[in-house]
Order: sequence, then structure tokens, then C-alpha cells
Amino acid sequence: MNKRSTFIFSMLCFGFAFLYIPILLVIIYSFNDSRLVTVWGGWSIRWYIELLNNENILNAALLSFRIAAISATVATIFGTMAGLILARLRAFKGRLLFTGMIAAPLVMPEVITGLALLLLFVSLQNLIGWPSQRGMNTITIAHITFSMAYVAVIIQSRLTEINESLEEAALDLGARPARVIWDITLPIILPAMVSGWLLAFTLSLDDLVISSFVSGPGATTLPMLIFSKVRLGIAPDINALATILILLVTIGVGIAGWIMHRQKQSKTIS
Amino acid sequence: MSGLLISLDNSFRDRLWKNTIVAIPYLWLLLFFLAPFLIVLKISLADPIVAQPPFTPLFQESENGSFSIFTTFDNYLYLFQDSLYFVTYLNSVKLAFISTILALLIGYPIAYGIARSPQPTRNILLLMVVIPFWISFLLRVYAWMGILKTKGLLNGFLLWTGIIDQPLELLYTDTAVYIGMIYSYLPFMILPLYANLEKLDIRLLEAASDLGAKRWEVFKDVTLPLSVPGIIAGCCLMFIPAIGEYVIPALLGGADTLMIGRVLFDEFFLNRDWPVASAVAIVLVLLLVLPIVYFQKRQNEELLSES
Amino acid sequence: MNDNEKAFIEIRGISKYFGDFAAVYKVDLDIKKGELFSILGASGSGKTTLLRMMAGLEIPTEGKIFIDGIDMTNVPPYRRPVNIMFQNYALFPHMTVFDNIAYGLKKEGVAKDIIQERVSKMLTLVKLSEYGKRKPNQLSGGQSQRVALARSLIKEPKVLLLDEPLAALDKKLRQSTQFELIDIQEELGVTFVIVTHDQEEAMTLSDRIAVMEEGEFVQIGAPNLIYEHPKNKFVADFIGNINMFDATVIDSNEQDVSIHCEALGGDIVLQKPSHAYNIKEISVALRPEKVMIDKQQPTDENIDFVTGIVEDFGYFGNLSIYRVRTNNGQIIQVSQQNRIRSEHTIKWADEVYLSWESDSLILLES
Repeated sequence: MNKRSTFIFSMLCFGFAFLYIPILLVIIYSFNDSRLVTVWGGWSIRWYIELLNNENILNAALLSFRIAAISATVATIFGTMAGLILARLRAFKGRLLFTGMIAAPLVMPEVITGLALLLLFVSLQNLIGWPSQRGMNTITIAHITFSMAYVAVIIQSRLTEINESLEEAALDLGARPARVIWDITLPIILPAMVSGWLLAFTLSLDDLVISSFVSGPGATTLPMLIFSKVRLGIAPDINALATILILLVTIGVGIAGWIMHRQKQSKTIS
Repeated sequence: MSGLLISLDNSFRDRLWKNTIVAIPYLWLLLFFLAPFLIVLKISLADPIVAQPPFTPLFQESENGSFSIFTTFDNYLYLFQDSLYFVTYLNSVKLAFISTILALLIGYPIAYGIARSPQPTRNILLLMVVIPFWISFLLRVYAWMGILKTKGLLNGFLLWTGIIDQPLELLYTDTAVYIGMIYSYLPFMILPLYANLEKLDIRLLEAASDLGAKRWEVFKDVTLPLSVPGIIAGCCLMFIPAIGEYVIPALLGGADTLMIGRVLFDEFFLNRDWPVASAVAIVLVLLLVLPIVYFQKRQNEELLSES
Repeated sequence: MNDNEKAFIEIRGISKYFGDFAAVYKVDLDIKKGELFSILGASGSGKTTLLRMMAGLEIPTEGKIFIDGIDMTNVPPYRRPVNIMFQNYALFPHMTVFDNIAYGLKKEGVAKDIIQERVSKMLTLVKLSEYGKRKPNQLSGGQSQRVALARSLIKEPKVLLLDEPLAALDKKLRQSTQFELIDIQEELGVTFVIVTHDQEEAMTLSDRIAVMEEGEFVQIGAPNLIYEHPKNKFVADFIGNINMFDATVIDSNEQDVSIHCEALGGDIVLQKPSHAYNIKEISVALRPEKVMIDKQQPTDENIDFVTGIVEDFGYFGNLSIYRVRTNNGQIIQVSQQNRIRSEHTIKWADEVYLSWESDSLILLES
């Protein structure tokens, strides 16, 4: 191996070690019988049991999953619409503003978006009486808003890759524009829509800052709960929770990878 | 020019479809993204009062029944007078900038290595980069708490091997924040870099080599310039949000790790001073406007050049 | 075209502007029913834009398009009796070959069993009966093209538009496909309008050709008319190879034209001019295959000739192309069929005589 490849190879090793060692350590210590990090008390699953008996955590997890599912679905629909518009309609009134509103959430610091949304909800409450109670509804709205920007970018990028001649061919063959979108465009961008949904789901599930701003009494999401616990220091049941999530993610990503692999294989059959 | 575009203008029914599809996301974003910023601006021009909500309203009815607008720039003056804010803004930019550069230096070789790998390996490596991305950001930062604390794993390991004999103060320092930033944002840096490097045509490198360039010259003259869009994308995706980052400094940083995200959060939740928090937010947005606009321009250029 | 036959496609004053740029400028065209018509031009000539306007994928900035007497200028593509075959075929990747071909009929609301019947017939016509269940990514280039053709033809359009139909095929496939296309067109009687940059394609396939440049038509006519009687220097140069020389008009009347051309040896008289040439400066064009090359001097006294030395020659198997430098310094290109199998008689540096029939000369304005 020449000098270049050795450097790259060692950077790869270092990089992946850097990425994964903390994760592996969390997994290992979730089985540590002792509460302390510095002491190894032997293998045990007591933290998992504690976790499963912790109603607060279970409720928070359930709330987070519900919010994530709803916001991901709505964000995918809105984001696909936005992506379609940006990719297929060349000019319309206010396009510049629209493009800005789609690009900004991708990089805007969360404290700003969170603050802004909370102030909006408070103002709305003063003005029209809704939302009277902040909680799941406001968190969901907030999540939809920033997630749809991500979905829009994914869809727009996919659509610019696809040749417009496919849609023109459908028009030529007798399909009205709305049917063209349904028959041709949507089926082709379906994988992109699925990635968009998964991304929106993860962003929602993971969000701490914005949820903290726009939530209300009684609506504690999983990240909010975890944060309040770990501010005070290490909590071993959080290790267990982390391990479960890591497992779910790995399985999910593994399945997705396997599906894509199978799809690629079927393409080579001639 | 898309046939779809003209066809959508053809009949009332089609135009209705088009207008609906445009209107729904547009209105949503106007209401839930743009309007909030205008409200933040408005509140930054108000006075804090002990009330619900804790700021003076914009329109005030005076005794004879007419409305007047009440605004004050006190909050902005307060920001500029108190040097702490200025220092915090600068510190945030500095921390974000250094983290971004370090992440770039680490991430570029990794992205390059993945892009150069032969097929089955490449997909596996990509998946391995993506998995941490899907795992909760919060939990990954938390993992570092256990490693970096005084009675933590890193110190334990170093003491045990005898490399040091006093535990290092790592947690609650700037160093911990750097590590946390790089760790959390690394996938955001690697993925755009990879997307760009993957498209690199090997024949360009072969041509340069054939014309007499040595390995490092091929990198400097061909690979590096062509990967600039990826570098810019990765840096924007990390630098801009990192300036306003809250979680990492909150969990890993110390009392003297000044970051504007924390200041804003604390100003809001601890001091209950909404107007000042709003002013902090507005100034931060103004600071970021140029990078954000630049990012958006590059995004559009990239998309146009792909189509 | 006789006046009794009304044009099937009438294009009147069609222009298309993109900003200030006119991609197509005030174009008029009549295409007959059942004709196989080509629009020939380089890229950027506006030919594809014109085709798209006929398909309804672009709206003209000004002008009108009539198909079978009906004004179609603003009719959307899904309501025109016109179908287009795209250069990249545009097969729907998520549908099978069968579903691709059936798509147009489904949009018409045709019953399922009839669809089944018609699609099967069409698959047989394009020789792809066994391929119904395949997906586009499992087809070769030639097969994809036939599916695209089947998909457009099954709707029995009045006009079929083809965008560079043979461009993506390799040479052998191109030749066989050319003849297949002609056969299908004759069998179905559909009016074909082909857009291409390949002159060979245009010449082989078409009943008539329109040569297009910078958004305007330069000449319209049957292939042999365009080839043997080009209207101007552009067309003469664009189609095939040609030798072009400067000349001056000495005298011009109804019977003949006298010109003086240095390159061709001096004064030449041409019979039956196509029109009176009042201008002094003129160009004379001569196709390489119309030049006879021989080591012996031509015996007929009435034939004009020049002498020269063979500077270069290329052997193409069925023909040879010579570049001859004449005794007054001009290069003349000559192409000859290799009719005799034995060893070549004319080689490099040979002294040769070049001669031609006087009506092979084409007079063009400078």
C-alpha cells in the first residue's frame, strides 16, 4: 500500500473508531450492574427492567413516537408538494421568498426557530384564543414546519435528476397534468418520499430545543425527559434507553440497506 | 421548459390544482415560519413587564381611545452596552468556526476513503456513517459526558495505563465542547463531501497523472478544486447551526463556555426576559443572514448545474 | 405539391422567443398527409423547439398551427391527435413494457380486453412479443426504441413526431431500423415528422426535407432536389461534401451563362441557366462524385478539364476520395466508386486530369 492509501486507510479507521467507541461504551455500560462509570459491577439487565417500569419514560416515549409519526406524515405531504413546485414550476409569484423559506430551516439554529414559534403561539393565543394549551399540538406543528423543508430539498433534488421527458411523454399520451403527477411523478419519487419520511421522523423524535420552547405542562417528550435527567449527571437507565434506540436504528438501517441491495440486484437481470 | 408547466395553465381545473398545490405549503410556511420571525422582531422592540405574556403590546390604547405604537430600542442598546453579549457572539462564532475546520479536516479523508472504496465495502461504510446520524443527537452527546468526566472512562483509561497521573479536567470545558461539536456534526460534514467526491470522474485524475502530475499534485490541482462545492455545503450545514448550538454547550460546556444559544435559552427561561431574548435572536439572525443567503445561492446553483 | 391537395399540417408564421432570443422565427410549412417529412438542422437550429410546438409541449410566441384543418396552436398535448417519440425514449421505468404501451389507451378509457388485444398486436408489429413483462431497464437500446415507437403508434395519431430517432443506435442497427421505420409508416399511413441533425438519416427516410438554420427554413424539397439543386451556399455545404469556387459572370441571357472561374480552368459556358444572373460575383459548386479523374486526358473536346497532382487520398472500401491540387493551386475533392477490384491505378503524386459534365456545375450566389 502506498503512502496515500495508508493515510486514507488509517483516517478511515480512526474516523469510524471515533464515531463508534462512545456508542459501544454506552451499550456496554447499560449492562453494568454498578451505577458508577468507573466501577464495573458485573453484567446485569437491571437498568432495562427499571426502564420498562418507569412510567414517565414510557409515556414520554409514546408521546414522542406519536408526534413523530404525525409530523413525519404531514411533513412528507407538504414537503413533496413544495419539492414538486420548486422543481417543476419555473416561475411563479413569490418564488424567491418560497425558496428562502425552504432553505432557511435547514441551517437556522434551533433556539431561534423555537423562540420564534413560541412567540407566535403566544400571540395567536392572545389574538384568537388558540392554542389555549401548548403541548402535543404545538410541538407537532413546529416539527412539521422544519421537517417539511428537509423533505422538500430531498424531493426537489430527486426531481431535478429525473428527465422531464417522462412527464412530457405522459402528457403527450393523453394524461392531464394532475394525472401525470399521480401516474408518473409520484411513483418514481416514492423512494425519495420514504427517505424523507424517515428523516422527518428521526428529526422529530430527536428534537429537544424546539420542543422545550413550544411545549406546555403535561407534554414532556422523550428528549426533554432525557435532557432533564442527564443535566444532573450520568443516569444508567438512560444507557439502557440509548441501547434500545441504537438497536432499533441499526435494525432499521440494516433492513433499508438490504432492500436497496435487493433492488439493485433485480436491475441487473436481463 | 417543462410541458407540465404550460399544461397546468391550460384550463380552470388544472390551474386550480396548480394553485392549491402551491398555496398549501406556501401558506403554512408564511404562517409558521415567516410570521414568527416578524413577531420576534416586534417583541424585541417591547419592554419586559410582569404580566402574561411578559412584554408590552405593540398597539396601545391611550386615554382618548386612539391607538399608538409603542416600540423601544432599549433591548438592543442593552445588548450593545453589555460587553458580555458581544464577547458571547464572538465566542460562538469562534467555537463554531474552529469545530467546522476540525470536522472538515477529519471528515474529508473519511469521505474520500469511502468514495474510493470498491462496491460492497462502500455501501457498508456509508451505512456505518449514516447509523450514528439516525441515533439521537442528545444521546450521543450524553455518551461523551460519561467519557470525559473527571471520574470518567477516558481519565480512567489514561490513569490505568499510566499515561497521566492526575485526571484531566475535560468535561465542562471548551475542549469538551469542541469534541462534542465535531462528534455530533461529523455525519453532516461527511455526507455532502461524499456526495461530491463520489461524482468525481477517475479519468480526470488519470489524465492529470498522464500529463505528469504527482499524486499530491493530482489532489491539489484536480480533486480539491472539484470538491469545493462539497466542502462549502458541508461547512455551511455545520457552521451556521453550530453558532446557535444549545445542547452541546449545555451538557459538555462549563460556566465560562459562552455560547449565544445558551444565553438566549437562559435569558428566556431563567430571566423571563422575552424582549431581550428576542433582541438576542434578531441580532443572531442578522449575523447569519449573509451565510444563509450564500448557502441558499449555492444550493440553487448546484441544483441548476445538475439538471 | 398540387393545389388540390390541402396541406395536412399547416404552420403559419410560427415564432418562439426565449427572452430576446428567437429560437424559431416566422416559419411557414405545409406537410402533406401520409408524408414522411424531415426537418434537418444542426443543434441550436431550432428544429427541436419547432417539433415541441407541434406536440404542444411549447406554446408559440406568435403564429398558428393547423392539423387536419383544426387550429391546434393552443391545444394542450393531451388533447392533440399528435404523438411524439422522444430522443431518449422516455419509457416509464416503473411500468412494464406492456403497461408502457397500454398507457395511452388507458388514458382514453379503452376497455381492458381491447387494450390486451391491441397491445399484443402492436408488440408483434415491432417484433417484441415475448417482452411484455420486462421493465425498461432490462431492454437494449434498439428494443427500447421499438417500445417507444409502439407506445406512440398505438394511439393511431394523425401525426407522429420523432426526435432524432436513430441517433442513439449504432451504425448497423441504424440502417435496419431506417427501413423498418419506412415500412411501418407506409403500412399505417401515418404522417411522420422527423427532426434530425444527420443528413444521411434525412435523405434516406424522407419524402421531403426542410433544412433549418438559426430558427428559419433555408430550403424545402425532396432529397434529390436539395442535394442536386441547393438554393444557396449554406445548403450546398451542409448536405454532403462539395467543392466551392469563386467565379465572375461574364454574360447572362436566356440561353446560357458565361462565367470565368480560375479554379476550373478559365471561361465556361453553362446551358439553360435556372435564372438570369445579374450579379458579378458568384460561387460555383461541384459535388465530388461528379468529377471524373483519370491519368489520360479526356478525348471529347467539348469537356472542360483541369490538370493536377494527387495530394492525398482516402480508401473507404467501396469508394475512394482524392484531394487533388490543380495547376492553379486549388484543391478539388473527388470521390469515385471503386468499380474495379484490382489494384489501384491512381496513387499519391500522380498527375491526373479532372473533368466533369457542364450541367454538374451549380451556380450559387456568393
